[in-house]
Amino acid sequence: MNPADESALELALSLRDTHGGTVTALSMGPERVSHMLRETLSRGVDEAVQLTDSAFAGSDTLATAKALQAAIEALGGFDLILCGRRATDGETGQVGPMLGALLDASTLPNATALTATPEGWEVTQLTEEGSQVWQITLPALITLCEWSYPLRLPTLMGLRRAKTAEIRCLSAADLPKGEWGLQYSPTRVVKVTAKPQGVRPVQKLPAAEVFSRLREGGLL
Amino acid sequence: MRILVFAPAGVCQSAGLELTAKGAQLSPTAHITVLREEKAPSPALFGGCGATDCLTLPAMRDDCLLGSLLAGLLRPMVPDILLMPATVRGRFLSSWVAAKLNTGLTADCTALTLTEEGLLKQIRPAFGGNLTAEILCRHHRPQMASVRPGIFPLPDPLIPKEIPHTRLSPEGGHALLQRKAFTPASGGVTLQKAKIVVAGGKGIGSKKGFEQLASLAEKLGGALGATRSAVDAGWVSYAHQIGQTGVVVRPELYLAFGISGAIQHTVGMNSARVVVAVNKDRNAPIFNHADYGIVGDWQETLQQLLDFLSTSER
Repeated sequence: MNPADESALELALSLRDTHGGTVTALSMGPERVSHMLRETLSRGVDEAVQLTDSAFAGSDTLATAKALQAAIEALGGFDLILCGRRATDGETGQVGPMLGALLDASTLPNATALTATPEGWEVTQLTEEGSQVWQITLPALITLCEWSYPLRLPTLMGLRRAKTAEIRCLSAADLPKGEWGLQYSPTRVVKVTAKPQGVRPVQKLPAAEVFSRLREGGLL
Repeated sequence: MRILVFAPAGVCQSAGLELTAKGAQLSPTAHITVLREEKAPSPALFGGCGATDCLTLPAMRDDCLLGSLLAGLLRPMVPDILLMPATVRGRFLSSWVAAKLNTGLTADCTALTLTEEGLLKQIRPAFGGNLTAEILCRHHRPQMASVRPGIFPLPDPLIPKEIPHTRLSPEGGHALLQRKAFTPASGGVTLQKAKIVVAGGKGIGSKKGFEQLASLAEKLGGALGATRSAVDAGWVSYAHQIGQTGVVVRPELYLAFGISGAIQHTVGMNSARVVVAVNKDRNAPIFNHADYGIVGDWQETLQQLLDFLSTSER
């Protein structure tokens, strides 16, 4: 599980512990996703759902968001969706906000905290501008920053449950017809090349020599 | 060809100018419309970057509402290309607009060109940064791309040019979010403006190591930078992250300690004037991005540098 998803999971569990309700972990992907879903079970989610089908293969961010939207609707809707703010591979950070737009939910990216106040739910968001606090109305989708909520350790009972509990699988056949998979992805990777090498001609020198040259250049 | 650029107000406001200049460079004959926020740079500055005309949006605090209004404005225009800054807000707005318009979006492009057929070729690092991917959006419009502030240069000199300017007062929609409090940031901006950047990567190995780098940065009157892996390890805060998902810097001097040189990081520092890399692995990719390479332990080199600075002070 990536660190941003861990934040989202911990926040979900602690909200349930304090305010009641249920937590469903939903992930789209092939077999290895089920190991990660078992980790969420060991931490105490009420249900783990894996969205998996060859029909979803090759989905870009928009097609992924559409599949998740359909799955969430098939699971009976939501009050609050918590996601990691980005994956550690693609790092686009797009799926969460796209899903929010498709579901017409109040959506806030890059959150570091969510708290209940007498006036409603308040979310702290981190941007280049600084830190802002927003009041949001449910249903909402929040994407969490890494390390905002350190994930609890699994309990012994949780580990036992993670071994035996069933992961609910949803396939494309369980959803209404939708636009997902490579075929319906607006973006297409057309070429992949090895990254360019040697953008600067480097001189490898002893440290003292480098510092003297920097001094001569007025840089130190 | 019709190109639209979203130009935000705020600390990343130069991003809108950079994207406008890039649009003009992509196609000198293109009609470039800038959708600018109320407090973004003046329309004439966009004119100087090559914009044809400019639409000004009123300041709106709720980005969900702004995203839906942008989508509503764009729908009848059907531009070929929409460029957005890859800031936290820009990423959010671009994702929201792409979903509402049912079109493709490529985040964090490091280069943009046109293909022979006039399609936008969107280039970004992929698969952990060892590869570069070229991405096309053939059938959906607009072709949307986001780019980090600082990736594309501004025209030099930037000579203002008056262009037609219309104020929009879009109606409808209801706010989903309400802002209660705001604390301005400092770190990232200082980093972007610093003449000297002292940066560390995974090789630094600890929070304590970063404290040493921070004190060197302070001694040199510079700022502290870091790679994503160092930030993810919790050794230093996100405000210091340089690269594809952090800030892009162009200092006079960039000192890279214990940085391997993944492309996600180097896209954020390649424009530095002089780069010095310190790494114990003589084959580390960072040396391909450095003017001077010091093969050795970062801590020893740091000590040598501190000694060098204190001797010359006397």
